This record gives sequence, C-alpha cells and structure tokens, in this order.
Amino acid sequence: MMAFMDDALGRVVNAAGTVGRAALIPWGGAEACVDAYEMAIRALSDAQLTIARTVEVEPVRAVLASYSEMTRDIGATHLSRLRWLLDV
Amino acid sequence: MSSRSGIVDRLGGRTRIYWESTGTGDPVLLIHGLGLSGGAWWRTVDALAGAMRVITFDHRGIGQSESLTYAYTTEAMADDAVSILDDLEIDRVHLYGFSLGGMVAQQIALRNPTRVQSLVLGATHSGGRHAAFPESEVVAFFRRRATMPSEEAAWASVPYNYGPRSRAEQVDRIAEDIERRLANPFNEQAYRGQLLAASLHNCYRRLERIRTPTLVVHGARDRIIPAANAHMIAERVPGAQLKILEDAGHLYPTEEAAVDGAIGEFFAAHG
Repeated sequence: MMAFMDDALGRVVNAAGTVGRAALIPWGGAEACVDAYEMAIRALSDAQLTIARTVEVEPVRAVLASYSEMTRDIGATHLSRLRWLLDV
Repeated sequence: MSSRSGIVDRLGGRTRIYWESTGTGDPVLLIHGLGLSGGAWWRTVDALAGAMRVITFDHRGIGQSESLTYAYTTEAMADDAVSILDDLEIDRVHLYGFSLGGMVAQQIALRNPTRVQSLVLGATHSGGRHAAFPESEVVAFFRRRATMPSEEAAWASVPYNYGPRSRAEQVDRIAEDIERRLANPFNEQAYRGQLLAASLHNCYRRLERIRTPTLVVHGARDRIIPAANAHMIAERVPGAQLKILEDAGHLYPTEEAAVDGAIGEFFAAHG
C-alpha cells in the first residue's frame, strides 16, 4: 500500500499508526488488542453458523448462515485495515 | 487419475467457492495469485497429482466463485480456503500459495496452524510497511491494467510477469499461459479488490509465530514482488528454507519447469 501512496499521505498514515499503538498500550498493546478482536469475530461467526445448523427451516437457515458470513467478512475487513495501520 | 469438483456454500449462504480436486494421496491446497482462476495451476496440478490429492479453487469474485460482500482481504480469502477444507473434511493439508495466494497462505498458517502440514510461499511478500516495493513503473502498470481489454492486458503484462531469459526462449510456454488465462472471463471489480487486498496485507510481525515447515520460493528477476521479500520472509519464519531461482521472474512456475518437482519433494519430506 505504501507503494500506492505519496510521501505526505504515508507520513500521515504512519503518524496515525503511532498514535493508535500508543493509545492501546493501557489495554495490553495494539497486537494483543487486534488478536483479541480477531478471536472474538471468529468466535461470533462460528456461533452464528452453529445456530444456523440447528435451524431446519428455509430460508431462515440460509439467512442465519449469511449473517455468519457477513460477520466474518466485516471482521476480516476491519482486521486487514487495523493490522496494516497499526503494523501488528 | 481421479478428478472431481464442487462448490462450497455454507448452509445456503451467499458465499460460494468453486473447487477442483485431482489425484489421490496427501492433500495439497494450491492458492493462486491476482486475477487468476484455480485453472492457472494446470502445470503444477499435472506435476503433483501423480503422488498427491491436489485441490485448486477460484477466489471470491473470480471464475465460478462469488461472495456475499465485497470483502477482499487476505483474511477473508483465507477463510474461504479453509471452508473448502471443512467441506471436504480434510483436517490437515500441505499449502502452496503463489503471489497473492502466498499472502492468503500466510494468513491460513497463522489463523489455522493445526491444519497446515507444510507451507510453500511462492513469489510473495509479508506486507505492511516492511515489504520491498516494486518500481513505480510496475505499480503504474498494474493500476492501468484493470481498464485494459483482457488480451491486450495479458500480453502487456509479459515484461512484468516473466524474466528476460524466459521471454527470449520460452515464448510457447508464455503463449500457453495467456491462452489459459483468457479462457476465463476477467472480473475488473474482483481484480481491483484483490489488488487492494494485496496492498493491505500485513503478516510481517506475525511471521515469527509460524511453526509449520516452510519453503520460500522466488525468482531473482521478479519485478512485481522483488526477491528481497523472499529473503525477509525466510529470515522471519523460524527454520524456513529459501530457494531463489536466479533466472526467473514473477511467474517462475512457467519459467522453471523443474520447480514443481522440487516442491513436491518438499511436501513428501514433510508428509
């Protein structure tokens, strides 16, 4: 991504990352916070899928499965941005 | 040789991932690169399927695969790949990721360490601020490529995809690659999404968590992902082996026919 940015934007992003890492120190640091978020998202998505498996009525089952997919994908998008910004 | 295919759709959800499986033996999952379908692995499938069960698939938005959201990230693509293993009831697998696929493979090894028997990372980078970036001319080309007609884009990519020796001596193999590539419709939106996924990928600091036997393979003449990235990955993954192909560019599987055999031997050694 840095290759796609000009220097000024790169400096802003680096500064934002530094501020973000500093802000997360009281909660165990940026790496621990992002790891915890990743685990939480995956657990929530898995739980939604487990619930969907117990439902045998369509389209309710498919809708519940789609919620699981949405949770997983939105979480993955957050994680990608966070890991890149915070460099963890 | 036995061959079958299918589509993973988790309980009727909207994300559907197309896969193909060829051969029998220890399973290996091949994860391809930017804008390509699983069919791009045809040479490697032929080379490995004599001794292994080789599984390929289309990333979300590519070929016969689709997704509920436009979440193009290496994390989401890793989850897609793991959903295939779940569907095929495969507990552990050898993993071979190439280019963008190598980034996805890193995510799988980090997020699902117990499911990866061994790992091959081909022509890839660890991402983040620490990656060695291509020249600005290369970046500009790949931005521009998304808007070019497919055939023109495929041929215009040749100086970036292949090393000088291959461009001079292996024109037939390059033409075969392009013919296969053009057989699948090009999805501009998915291409742009995958380009963003590669750009935002960051496993650099976590690579030292990988405990899976790992082989890093890279062409020394790679202009798209400079070979410095392979050295960086090999230094950070504990115990990783490094294989640099001196005359090859980015698409080394086309340029170095023997490399698939060497990778098969690596998998056999860690079976």
